[in-house]
Amino acid sequence: MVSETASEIPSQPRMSEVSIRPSVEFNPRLSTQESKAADSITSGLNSGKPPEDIMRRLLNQKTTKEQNTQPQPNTQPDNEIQSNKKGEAGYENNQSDTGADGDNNIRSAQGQEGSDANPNEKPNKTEEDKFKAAVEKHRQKHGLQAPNLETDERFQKIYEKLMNDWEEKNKEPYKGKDKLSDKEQEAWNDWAAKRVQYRDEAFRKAKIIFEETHREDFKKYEEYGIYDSLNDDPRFKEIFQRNNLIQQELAKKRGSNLSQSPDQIAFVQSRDEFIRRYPEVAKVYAIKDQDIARVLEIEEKRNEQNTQPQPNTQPDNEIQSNKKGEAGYENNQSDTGADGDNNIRSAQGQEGSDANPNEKPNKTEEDKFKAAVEKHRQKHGLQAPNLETDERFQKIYEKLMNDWEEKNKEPYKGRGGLSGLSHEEKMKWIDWAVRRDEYGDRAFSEARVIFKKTYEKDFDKYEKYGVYDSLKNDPRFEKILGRETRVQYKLAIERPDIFQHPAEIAFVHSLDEFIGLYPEVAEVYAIKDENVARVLKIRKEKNQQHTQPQPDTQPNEQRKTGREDNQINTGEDGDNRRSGQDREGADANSNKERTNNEPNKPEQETEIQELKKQIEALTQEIKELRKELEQLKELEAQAGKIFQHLKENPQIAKLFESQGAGATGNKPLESKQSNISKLLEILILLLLAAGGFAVGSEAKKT
Amino acid sequence: MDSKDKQKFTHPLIDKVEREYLKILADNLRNGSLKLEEAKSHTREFLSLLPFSSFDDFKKKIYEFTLTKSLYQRIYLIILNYEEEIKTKNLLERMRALIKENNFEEALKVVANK
Repeated sequence: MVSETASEIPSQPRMSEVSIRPSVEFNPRLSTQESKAADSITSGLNSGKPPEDIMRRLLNQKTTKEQNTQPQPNTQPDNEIQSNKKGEAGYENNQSDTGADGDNNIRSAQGQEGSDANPNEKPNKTEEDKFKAAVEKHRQKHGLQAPNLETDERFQKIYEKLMNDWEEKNKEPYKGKDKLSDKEQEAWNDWAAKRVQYRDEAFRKAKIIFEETHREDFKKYEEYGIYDSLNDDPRFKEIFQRNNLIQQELAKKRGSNLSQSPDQIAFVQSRDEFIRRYPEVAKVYAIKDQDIARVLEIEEKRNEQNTQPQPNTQPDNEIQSNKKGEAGYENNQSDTGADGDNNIRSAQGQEGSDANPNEKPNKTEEDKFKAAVEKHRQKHGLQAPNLETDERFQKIYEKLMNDWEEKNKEPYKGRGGLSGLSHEEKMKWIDWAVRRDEYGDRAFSEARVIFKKTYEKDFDKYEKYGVYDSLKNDPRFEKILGRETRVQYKLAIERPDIFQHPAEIAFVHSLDEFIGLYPEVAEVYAIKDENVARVLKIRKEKNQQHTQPQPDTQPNEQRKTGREDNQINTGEDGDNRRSGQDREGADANSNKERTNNEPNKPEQETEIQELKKQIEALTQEIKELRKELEQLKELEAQAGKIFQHLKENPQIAKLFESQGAGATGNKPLESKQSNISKLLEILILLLLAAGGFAVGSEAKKT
Repeated sequence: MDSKDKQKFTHPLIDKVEREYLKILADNLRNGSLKLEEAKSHTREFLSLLPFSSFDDFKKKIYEFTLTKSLYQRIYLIILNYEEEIKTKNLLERMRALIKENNFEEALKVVANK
């Protein structure tokens, strides 16, 4: 089981998966009552309320059915659709619990904020005021009659008419009658249910009619319509629905991922996609949504940086313009959900957005990091911080994807998104999207190969000096960690008594190895990563000890080539000169010895590494055995005491006597020492068994 | 024995299982797999299982509950995992006791049988 778990560790980096959790997970087509119930459960769980109380509270929540069976004086459309004037009751005030999809769409930017949002996300009053002001400004700027289509009076009138027509044809049964019999109530319930069903249809029809009659305004709403939050925005819901379906399918195909659930990946992808597609709207949401604000800020900075002149290491015609506003590679590709997308990350553009909040550095650290990345980039003559953010690479990838899409046309394109498709059509579309996603992985690898062939020098530079937004997002580190994790898990299975905490050991080993291989890159990460900084410091100190005056066994020339200017004094520089493949198999620890000796061949390095591991394992084993021996001695002592105590009891003493001198406690301690080896044998068996169970349990959890 | 059975069985694992149940419920309400009415019905059923009189009672009831609702299978697995841990601990205790008695042969048998 564990080996399976270990093998699930992706060898390819999947950077977008290391991301923040969605603050509100939802199904975009979900009715409000389910969403509210889910939110209520989550907030209850988060607040530490007893689960039984949460369950009872859930039971008290009214369902649509329960609401419909209660006296409903206001079932007339007149009451449903109100004008959108500030202060008047909005449409949703009457409808939020009906469960109809239309309800989710009909939102008022002014009247809805935070109604079913996560309470933690609710902005304060000032932010809300600012938001409202920004909505109004945005509305005026883009010449919208209302913040969004659904709150446009013209749209509401169309919808109202459709509902009226329906009610003309489907008269409300027993209208005006105070008390209904069971049968009558049942008939009324049927009518109410049909009416709720028709609301969705009426909503869709109203949208089509509005599009036909007010085409320009419809387009504006499509582009600039604004709702009370991103999660309420139907465009976002549509994007999320699509990405979520793809991610769910991919998760099924690839098996479970250790780091994140598919809906979380879809959420982050969808948010990024939304921000790129509707930047102006996103700016307004950003007023009260810190996540959006952060991503926007990062995007802007990245764009600014891209517009700055960069060292020209390639012929002029190869370097493309990167003017702000031009659609970059990432803009076109982010919605594929492909691994390639995950890899295409900007060191500037990603930090914080999907990092662990605990690891998040403060503003100053982040600024320092960015500055260091830039300095590092310039120093090594890189066009971008890493290969994946290099425009030339992005263009290659983009071309590969475009070629594929030329050959594999998107089905039902222009049919107005997934909501307009039948189930079968949807499945066909998903199949296409999954294939495209799978191709994305291949295209990514292919783009690397092409880039390597075309810009060999630059490729090598990226291999050696490419910087990502953090160590854990660095594909080189991911690779080392993946390999090391497999090794450690294997050892843990073989000797669970000795090799405990394989994940932690793997991380430490990988970190050490990475720093050894890429000291300069590690120096940059160290700015905002305490772990890196600490290990770097230790390595430097160790290295200083090594570099104390010692007999010179190295030819002068070799020393010269063994180190580059300004490189930190770790003694692992030789590794930096190797290709990416060589690096993977290299061992950082073994490099320490190389400072004052002949450089080792890879075979020797592996051998040294193996020996080191064996020594480590043996040391650990000895420690454990010593500990066990101590425990056994203690047990012996305790047993002796108990025996003495028992012997004081005359009846027991008599019993011992009757049984002869064979009673175990009678033997001097020394004579029992011979049993220690036997005891050790049992203990090891015991520990193996216990370890086996533990591993089994862990595997089950996974 | 009867009075013991009637006693309410309390254990941190119950809280863990209940929380897991609620998490599953919330997730499925969000992704549209579960309607509120169904969630309420399941919760009603879950609450009707309370209180548990013993660990066996707890395990049995949860097993039966998850048998018909595979959606919540995970909560039964939590109990199984816990049980396994307990079994391991008990085994170790037995081993320890036997070793204390210098009864190595028996101790070895316990491991071998396992």
